[in-house]
Amino acid sequence: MKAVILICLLIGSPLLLRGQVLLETQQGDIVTFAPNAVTSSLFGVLNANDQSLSVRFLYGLPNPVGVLPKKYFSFGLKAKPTNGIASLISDGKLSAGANISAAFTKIDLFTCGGKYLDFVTINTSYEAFKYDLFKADTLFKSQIYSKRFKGFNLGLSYNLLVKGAHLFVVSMGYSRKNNISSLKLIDITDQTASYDSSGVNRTLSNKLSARKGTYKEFDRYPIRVSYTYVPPDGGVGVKPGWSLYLKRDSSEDKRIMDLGVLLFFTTSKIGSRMPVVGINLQADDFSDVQRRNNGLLNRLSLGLTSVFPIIE
Amino acid sequence: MKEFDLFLEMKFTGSVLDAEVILENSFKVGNWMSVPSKKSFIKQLDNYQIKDDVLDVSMLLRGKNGATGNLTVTIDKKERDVLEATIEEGIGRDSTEISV
Repeated sequence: MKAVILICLLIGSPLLLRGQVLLETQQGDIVTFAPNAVTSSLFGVLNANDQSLSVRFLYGLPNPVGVLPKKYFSFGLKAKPTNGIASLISDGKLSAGANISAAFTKIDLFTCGGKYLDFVTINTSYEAFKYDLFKADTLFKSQIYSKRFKGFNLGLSYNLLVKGAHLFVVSMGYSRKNNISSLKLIDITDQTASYDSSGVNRTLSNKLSARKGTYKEFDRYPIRVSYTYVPPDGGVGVKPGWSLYLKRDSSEDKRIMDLGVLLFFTTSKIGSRMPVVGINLQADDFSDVQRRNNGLLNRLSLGLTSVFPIIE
Repeated sequence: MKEFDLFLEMKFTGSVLDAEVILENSFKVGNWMSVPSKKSFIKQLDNYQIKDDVLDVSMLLRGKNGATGNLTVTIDKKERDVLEATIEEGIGRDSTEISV
C-alpha cells in the first residue's frame, strides 16, 4: 500500500524524476549514492544481510539557469523484520519494524563547472522496532518482556565526483543505536502440564523467539569515508565497480572502526549502468581495539545487497 | 534584429548530473519542463530576438563518464540542428551556429 502511494506521488509529480542507485553495507547504511539517468525514478533495495526491503524516490526542484534540477528532495521507506524474514509473522503477530527517511541534496556546493562535481546531502530518518527480550537473572514472571526502540538519525554527507569516474564521500552525523544485533536469538517454550483423573497427562506449550542478554540503547556519532570507482555508462555486458569504506558507527565501543569493500556488478539499461547486485566484505573492528584474541579472518563478514528498479 | 520562435528539446542517457544550454554565448536557458512520456526536457522561447543573422547554441554536460545528451533546436517549427555530446573525464561539450 505504501509503495502504491509512492508510485501515485511519482506519477503526479510535475518534474521528470531522476532515479538513483543505492548500495548498502551489511548494516543497511547507504555507502554509495549515485544519481542516475532521467529515465529512472524509483528504486527498491533488497539487503539480504539484514533482510530489509526499501524504496526511495527523488523529487527535483526547477533550475532557473540549467536544464536539470540541482536541488532534490528524496524520501525513503524501509521495512525490516525484527528477527529476520523467517520470523516476520510470529504467533500470528507481525514483527516488522519501519524506517522512514527524508533527504535534501544540492549539486555544486563548492564546484562550479569543470571536471569536478560535488553534491551535499542532509538526511534524517526515524525508525521504530519492537523487540521481545529475555533476561535470566530476574524474577521468573519478569524474564520475558517487550521493548520498543525509537531511533532518530541525522546525517550530512559530502560527495565529490572526480573526472566522471571517482566518487569520494565523507559523511557524519548523529544516530541513536541499540545492541540488539549482538544479543543471541533464542526460542523459549513454556510448557504447562495438567493431569486428568481419567489418566490423561496433557502438556500445553507456548513458543516465543526472544533476544537474550542485557539490552542497551546509546548515542553514536557515525563517521564514514569512502571511495567508489564508478564504471562508465553505456556499452554492453556486465561491468564491475567497487567501493572501499572506513566507518565508525554501529557498535557500543566508540573506538571500533570497520573497514569494508563492496564489489558491485552493473548492467546497461537504456544507456544507464545500474548495479544489480553488490557483495560486501567487511572487517569488523579492523584495528582490533577490543583485543578479544580474535584474528582478522574471524572478524570478516560477508553480505549481499541487490538493487532493482521498480519504475523506469 | 531577428525574431523567431525557438523550441529546444534535450534527451539524456546515463548519469548526466548537470546540463547547461547557452544561447548567444551569454544566456543560460533555465526552468525547463519535463515530458515524462518522451523522457525529455523541453523549453519554448517565443519571439526570441538576436542581433545578427546567426544563432549561437552551446551545450555543456557534467556527470558520469559515458553518459550522453542531445539537444534538438527547432526554429519556427522547423528542426534546424541537433547537438550531441558524450561525457569523458567528467565533461561533454558541443556547439553550433545556425543561420536564421
